Formats: sequence, structure tokens, C-alpha cells
Amino acid sequence: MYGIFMESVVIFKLYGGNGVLTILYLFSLVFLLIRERDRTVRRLFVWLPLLYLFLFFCPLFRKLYVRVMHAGDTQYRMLWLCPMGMTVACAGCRLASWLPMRGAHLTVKRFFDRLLLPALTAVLILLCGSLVYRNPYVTRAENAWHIPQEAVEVCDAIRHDYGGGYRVRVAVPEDLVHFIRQYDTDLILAYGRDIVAYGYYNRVREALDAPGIIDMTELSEALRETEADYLVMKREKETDHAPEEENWFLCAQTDEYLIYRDVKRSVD
Amino acid sequence: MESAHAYTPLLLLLWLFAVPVLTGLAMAPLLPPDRQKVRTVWFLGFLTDLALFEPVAVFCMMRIVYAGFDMLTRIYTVILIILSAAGLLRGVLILHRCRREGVRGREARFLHLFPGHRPVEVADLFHPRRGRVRIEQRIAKSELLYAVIFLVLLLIQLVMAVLYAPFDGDDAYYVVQSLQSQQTGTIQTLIPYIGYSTVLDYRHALAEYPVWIAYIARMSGIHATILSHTVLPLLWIPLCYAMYACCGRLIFKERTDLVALFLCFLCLFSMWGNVSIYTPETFFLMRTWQGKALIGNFVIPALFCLLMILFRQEGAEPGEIPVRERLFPWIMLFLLGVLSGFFSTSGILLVGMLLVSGAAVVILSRGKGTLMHKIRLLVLTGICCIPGGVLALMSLLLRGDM
Repeated sequence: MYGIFMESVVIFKLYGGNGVLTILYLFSLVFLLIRERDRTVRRLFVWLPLLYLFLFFCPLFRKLYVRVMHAGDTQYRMLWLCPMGMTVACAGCRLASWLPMRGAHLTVKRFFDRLLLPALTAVLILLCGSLVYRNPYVTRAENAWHIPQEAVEVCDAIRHDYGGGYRVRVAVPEDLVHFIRQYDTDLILAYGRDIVAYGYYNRVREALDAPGIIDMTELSEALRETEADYLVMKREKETDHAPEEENWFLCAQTDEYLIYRDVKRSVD
Repeated sequence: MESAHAYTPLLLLLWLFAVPVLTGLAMAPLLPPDRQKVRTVWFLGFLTDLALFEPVAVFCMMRIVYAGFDMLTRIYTVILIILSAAGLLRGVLILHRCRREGVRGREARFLHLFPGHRPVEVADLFHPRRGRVRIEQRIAKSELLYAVIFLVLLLIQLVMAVLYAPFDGDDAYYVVQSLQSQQTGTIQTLIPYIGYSTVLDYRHALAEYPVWIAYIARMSGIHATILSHTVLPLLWIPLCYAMYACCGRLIFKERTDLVALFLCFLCLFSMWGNVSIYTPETFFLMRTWQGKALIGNFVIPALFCLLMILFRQEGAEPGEIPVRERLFPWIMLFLLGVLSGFFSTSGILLVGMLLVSGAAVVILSRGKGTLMHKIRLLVLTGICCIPGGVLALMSLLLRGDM
């Protein structure tokens, strides 16, 4: 039971990241518990979240959750029932509302006071949190699809080459795997995101994304085993011998990628 | 690959705004008259349309293997046309009655269609419990300032949602699922990651939100990926804040001056809440188009809002609040019960827990209701739990746990 409890503790820590925002939330919770006069707000934003927190850390509940959901990796979503944002915002507003109600004669000092406490709360949020747009995974959109333009060009080049109307199998390097099918689902992949994300073995990926020089014979065999029609390779990637020697015909290219078609399958 | 056509913006407005308003007009008799505002009618219609999508999509997914989405498109469009026609008919009848009664002026006719926009009556202004105490007050400069700050922050979030592209690995599943339905006419028969045929994926099978995106994409002629990444955040982000604004109004009651400040804090919290990949704030701005983001940022705040209405109603004398006003939160709770599974399978559990625990607090609290009243609340809670219960049961059946 202690082990299960510690698992929940680890999930809670991971959820809170640096933990400062969690502390701000807990402070807000205590503040509302002490200062909030409205029973409804106290019930909804204090007592119910405390109940959910208790359940979250309860080992028996975790066992039940894992059994019902068939996975424990989504248990952190239980914490969504403790509305951190609304609780902190509510506590911040209550702090601000200590100051006189509007309609009272507004002096420069009062106006300053009305801004001071909210501004302090806002600064606390900014200092404790992390700006979402500074996340390294947030980049400037290159097109309306919000996927790399190179992926769009690769898909267009392949479609242009075979003419569309049916589905073809394509092997692409790891950095395109997430995007190709977000643009064109007529392209079937030799391996997908699951292989990359969970590190499963896949012969094509092992050969295509191998560090250093690509063993073209091995890659070609792997591709023919999966009946791939097209091979997309990074321009800077070196091969031990030319893909043409393995009957891969260079049919298109983009700034970063070379696109080969299997001559054998085209002849078939 | 065609991204969109010339009429796409108009069609998006039709399917995302006009059709829900018409559906809402058909459903509006369920609402108390003072809640029949355009926004509430649209919201009711929108939730109804989404909730109806779930059973139709599940039926088509289970019964039709190869062209499930094509069939779903036909059935659901017919349903929407019937509902819209009913709304349109009701609107025409109201306008016809206006003409017969000699009501003149565009504004007067509009108020007959949406009576919620009528000016608040004097009795309501000073009513202690109806939550509509709006004594005319001078708008404080600080309140105006907070409203401007909120609007600027919201605008920043919307602009960033269009101009910036957060990378999320799960898009290779959810967004592709939408696009796959749009382009191949199937539901859940192909593995989104690679495109090969597969058996039904029980973990995601009942969450039909990606299929709804595919439906809107097909009907509007827009590429599902563009709809997901670029258009839908423009719908969901303001809608989530509208939900928070409702919560704010209920929390602060007559202190309406605090609502704008509340929204400012929430905006900041959403933007600076990216302390880990698990927080609802991270989901909100980095994967707005995914169902689980909407569970955390739309469905759960909406539930808090509705529970607050229920809690406030419990403080009133029995009989003081009209029946339709009493039923309003329960109708919404029922619809949200269906939507819990529509957005994400884990939502069934979260929404169920929140609904049951919230209702239990209402029922067990020392309110002014009689035993019969509490039994009625228990029955209503049970009815609201039916959609979630059915979806949970189906999920267990699909997994083979039963």
C-alpha cells in the first residue's frame, strides 16, 4: 500500500512541475477555507477538491482507477477536479475585494490600492508559473496545417509522382513520422509514431534512422519486406552505395529530403 | 491537397453557429424565459448537437465497417436538418404571432424570439436570490481596466493559436483520426499512426470528438487538420472563458466588478500554467483541439458552474424558483454527461465523480427542501448519470471486461 501511495505522490510531484504553482494553489485553498463566507464557494472550491485530493492519494482508489481505466498513466487527470486556476483567481479576487466596493468615491490612492493587490497576485502567478509560449515545442506556424512545410512538400511530391487515387506505402525518417498522415492519409507509413515514442523495434526504422552511414542493402530488404512504394531520405544522410543500385529511382526532391520510388514495384 | 474552398468560412458559420442557434430555438421552451438569450440558446443548441452526435457515431462505428463515416454524415445531417427546421418553424410561428398581435419594430420581434434580452424588471433587480441583482452603478475605472486587460490577453491567446504551432505527439493519433474519417469515410477501422486496418481501439472508440471534427470538416470543405489546429481554437478558447465568466458571475454575485479581474487571473494562469505537461492549462493552449483538453477546460468548469447554480437554488425557499429554472441546470448536466464520453473516455469517470459528489453535497446539505424534494434530486442525479453509465458499460464491454 505504501508503494502505491508513493506512486501517487510521484504523479502529484510531476503534475506540479516546479511545485511553486501547487503551493500557490494550496495557499489559496487555505485562504478560501478561512476567509470565504459563501458556503457554496467553500463547498465547491475547498471541500470537494480536498475530497478529490484525499481520493487521489488513497492507495485503494488508485488500485480501483487502474483496474477500471486499464492504465494508471492518466490518473493525474483526477487532479483536474481541483480547479487550480479558478481557486487561485477566486482567492486573488477576494483579496482585491477587501478594498471598498465600486461606487464609493474613487481617489487616486484608492485606485492605486485597487490595482496593487491584484497586481501582486498577478506577479505571483507570473513568477510561479512558466509561460506556455516559451515551451520549446511551440514554434511559428509554417502553414495553415500547423505542420512543417517540408512534410507538406514531401506529400505533394509523392502524390504528384503517383497521381493519387489510391494508397501507397512510404518510409520516412523519424522527424516526418508525426506529420505525413496529418496532411494526407492516402500515404501509409512503414512505421509510425508508436514505434518512435515507445521505442518498439522496427526493421525499417533501424535501417533508415541508424546513426552514421545507411546500409542500403539492409534498408532495401526491410522496405521490400514491408512492401514500401516510396522511400524518403534526408539529403545529408549518406548510404554505403547508391539507392539506384537497389532499384530505388530518385523521383522528386525537396530542400531537405530525397524521394525515391521502388522501380520493381512500379514495374509490377 | 485542397485546404478549403471559397465558401468554407460561410459554411463554418452555418454549421457552428446558425444550425446550433436553430436547434437551440427548437429546444428553447425547456429554458426559463429570462435565460432565452441568443448566447444561451446557441449554447443549448450546440451542446444538444454534440450530444446527439455521440450515439449516432457510436452506432455507425459499431454497425458499419467500411463506410461508417459516410453513413454517419447522412444520418446526422438529416437529424440536424430536422432540428433546424423545427427551430425555424418555431421562429416563424413566433414572428407570425407577433404580426397577428400587431407587434411592430425589429427589436420587439427579436425580443419575442429571445425573451431573455428583455430589460430586467424592477422586482428582479432587488430580488435577493435570483442572482440578477444589477443595481445601476458607475463602472469603476479599475473594472474597465481589467476588462481591457482580459480582452487583450484573450486576443493574444487567439492570435498565438493561429500563428504558432505547438507540437504534440498525440496529434499523430487524434488529428489523423479526424482526417482519416474525412478522407476515407471510415470510423476507427484504420490505425491512425500508419494507416493499416485494425480492430476497434477500445481505449478511444467511444470518444467521438475527432469524428465530429471530421464531420464539420467535410460539411465545410476544409481540411480536418486546418480545422483542428487553426479554426477550432478560435471557437473553444472564447467558449472556455465564457464558461469561466459564468462561474465568476455566480461566485461574486452582486460584485460583478470582480468578474473581469477573475478572468484576468484565469488568463494569466492559463498562459503561465505550463509547469508540466499534465496541467489543464498546458492542454488548453497547446492542444486545444483535443478532447481531453476540453474535458479539463470546458466540461469540468461547466460542471462547477452548474453545480454552483444547483447549490444556490438549494438556498432558496421551495417553490420560490420556477420549475423551468430548476430544471435548467439538470438539462445541461444531462447533456454534459453525454459529452463526457464524447470528448474523452477518461472524462466519463471524472464527470461522473464530480456530478455524483456535487449532487451528494446538495442532497445531504441542510437545505430548505423536504424529503420528497431530496428524493427528486436523487432521481434527477440518477438520470444525469445514465449517459455516463451507459458509455462506461459499453467501454467495459468493448474491452471484454464483462
